Amino acid sequence: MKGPEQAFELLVKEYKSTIYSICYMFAQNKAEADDLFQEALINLWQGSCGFRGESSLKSWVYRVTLNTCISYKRKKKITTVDIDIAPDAFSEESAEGRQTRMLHDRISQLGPMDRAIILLWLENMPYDEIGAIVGMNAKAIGVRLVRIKEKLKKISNPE
Amino acid sequence: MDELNEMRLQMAAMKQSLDKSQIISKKLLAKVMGSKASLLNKIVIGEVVLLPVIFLIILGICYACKSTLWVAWVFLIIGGADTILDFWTIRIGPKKLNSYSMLELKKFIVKQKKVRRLQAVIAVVVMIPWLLWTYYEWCHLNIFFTTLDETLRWTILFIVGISVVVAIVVVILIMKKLDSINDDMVADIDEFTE
Repeated sequence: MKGPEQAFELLVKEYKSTIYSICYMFAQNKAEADDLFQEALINLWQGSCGFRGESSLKSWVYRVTLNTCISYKRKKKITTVDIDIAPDAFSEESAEGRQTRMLHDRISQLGPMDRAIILLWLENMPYDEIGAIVGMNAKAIGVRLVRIKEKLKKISNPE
Repeated sequence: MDELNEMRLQMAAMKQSLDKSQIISKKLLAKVMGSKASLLNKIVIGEVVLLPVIFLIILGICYACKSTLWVAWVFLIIGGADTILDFWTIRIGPKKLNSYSMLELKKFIVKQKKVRRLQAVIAVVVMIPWLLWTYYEWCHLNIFFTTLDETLRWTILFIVGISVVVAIVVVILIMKKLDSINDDMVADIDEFTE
């Protein structure tokens, strides 16, 4: 295998769960998450030659994946390759699957921007790095996160 | 902040379970690396391929009708300018996905939709006089056409008319498809500013 292909394979192996979890949180179901995942990989592959290391590799992967989720065309079905995922992760019968579903249900009630910010925050990313990815300053991220946390509290405890 | 800690744990558990999964197969990687362009890019590439073909057809008709070749050249100029503009108004290249923040991407898509509408209006305004001019050159000034039997003349005009209508319908359908793609994106983006 040639250099760029090998480097890309290593990159997706390293970040596959990060990329898939973002796609899943932006999708309405697993089939759509599979589509988004494949589209994100295509955009990462096509953009990988232009990556100049101005931001960290992790930030770049998040940026491309989130931008893909935002600009994704829902009506277009693109997945042609089966994506093999541990069934427990998404099965309603397993405790693991129920936890994932619960997380998805909470996050999917937020708007796309809030969804992106909370996903990055859940990954323990600092405010300035979150800001660089979504296009806001660190202070604005802090304010926004307070609002998101309040929203999530209301979602968890509706009364 | 119990909910948030719970969410962090749920996220970590999900990622752990995904780490154990295969997800990336050789087949998927081959498909990803072999992919050339998205639907939006394909539309622009299709235009680039189609433009010289239509130009040659028009040029051929001009030769056959012994009419001015400017009809074909003006078409090429209008079509060429429109295609060049489409690179900005239709495509979302990987470079933009690569370097734009989410808010920058939002602004770009909204602007793209607005500019495309303006582009469509200008294209219609420019194409109507071109069509009338072409009709005048090919049908009115053409000695061969004016000496034809009236039924044949009307048959030719009918076929040309149908072709123009079909072309317009195809363009409208493509525009509608592009708009629906952008509308989906804008609907998501609108939530940004809530």
